[in-house]
Amino acid sequence: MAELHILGQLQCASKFYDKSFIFCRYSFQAGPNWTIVSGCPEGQTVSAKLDYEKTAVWAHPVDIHYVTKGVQGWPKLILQVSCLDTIGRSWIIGYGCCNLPAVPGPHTIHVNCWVPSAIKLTDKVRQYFVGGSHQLIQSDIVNLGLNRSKLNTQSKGTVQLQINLILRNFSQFGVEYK
Amino acid sequence: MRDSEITKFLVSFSGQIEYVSFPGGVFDDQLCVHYEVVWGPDWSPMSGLTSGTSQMARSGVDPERVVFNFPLEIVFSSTNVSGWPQLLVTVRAQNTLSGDALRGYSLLLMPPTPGHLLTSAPLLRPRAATVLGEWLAWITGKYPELADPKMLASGKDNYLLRTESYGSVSATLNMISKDFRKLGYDNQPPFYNTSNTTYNTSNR
Repeated sequence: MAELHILGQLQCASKFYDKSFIFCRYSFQAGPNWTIVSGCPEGQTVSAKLDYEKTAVWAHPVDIHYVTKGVQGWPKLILQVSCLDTIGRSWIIGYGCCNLPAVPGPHTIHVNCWVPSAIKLTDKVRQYFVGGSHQLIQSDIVNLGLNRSKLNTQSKGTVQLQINLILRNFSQFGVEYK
Repeated sequence: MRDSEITKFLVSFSGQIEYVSFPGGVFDDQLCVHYEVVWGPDWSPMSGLTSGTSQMARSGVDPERVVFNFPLEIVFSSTNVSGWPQLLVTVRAQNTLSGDALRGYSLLLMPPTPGHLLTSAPLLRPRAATVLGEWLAWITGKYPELADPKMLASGKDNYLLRTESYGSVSATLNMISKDFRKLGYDNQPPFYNTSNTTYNTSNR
């Protein structure tokens, strides 16, 4: 069976102009052919303070080993960015999803995030003064393109990833990836 | 040895920790760098030092950076890519008044592709959990430290540790592998993947 190693870091989040601390929950999702041999496919970063450039640096390491029987359902990374304010409340300020590249070597990936926006005026006023946000009940809408037409969203910042991919034995099975 | 008998691959990392830079200037008398290499269960170091401490250095004409030029040279052998070595750099400051204090931790992945690489990684340091602690850190100039900095390299159990980031560490790293591709691994980026070079040329 072919193997895929994902090494790298969740580097930082930029252009999130929310509260002072930002953290991220992430999960790698892959199709039914893929099984994880080692590594943790989901986790949570430290909560980093925005620095002078309004960037929150996590430098969260990722090391995942997949074994696969087919290329359908190539792994995706799903991100959920949250903020933490000074009195310990947290809420979601961004959803994002990206497909991992299939080419070995180093990659820098920028994931642009969005969040469901407040529509009612009262919600907008409350979010401005009190904080809080709308969040998705079914978060699989983030990685699937279904049922998004009734969703109102607001643009948010960018999460930067540095990913190194190492593939094994793909060419033995006739998979042409480069 | 025939190809079918190969079970291990060797990876050699060499390079140096070039400098530490702080964008607002270095306000400490002297800085020092301590590095540790953290690796997974299937890996074992063959030669070289897996941890070390640099000289005490101060900034020169450029007030924003402190040059260390601290060499690293490590050879690893492994049977599995998972648990690829990471370099954990701790930057400490030595001042006449406040004594020894932490300036930050920085985590770098050792390059998984052959070749020469200049990387920089941000420094991050934990913040005090309480307002009083923050105030004391500001007064004394001593910031909270992690009891086990290697927990940063595992990425688990951080329980929403609050951190802040200031400055960065730059390092040059080379990677050479042996028997890596014989074992079926492919870590070579394709030659047409010139996104970095096109980016550079468009900048010029």
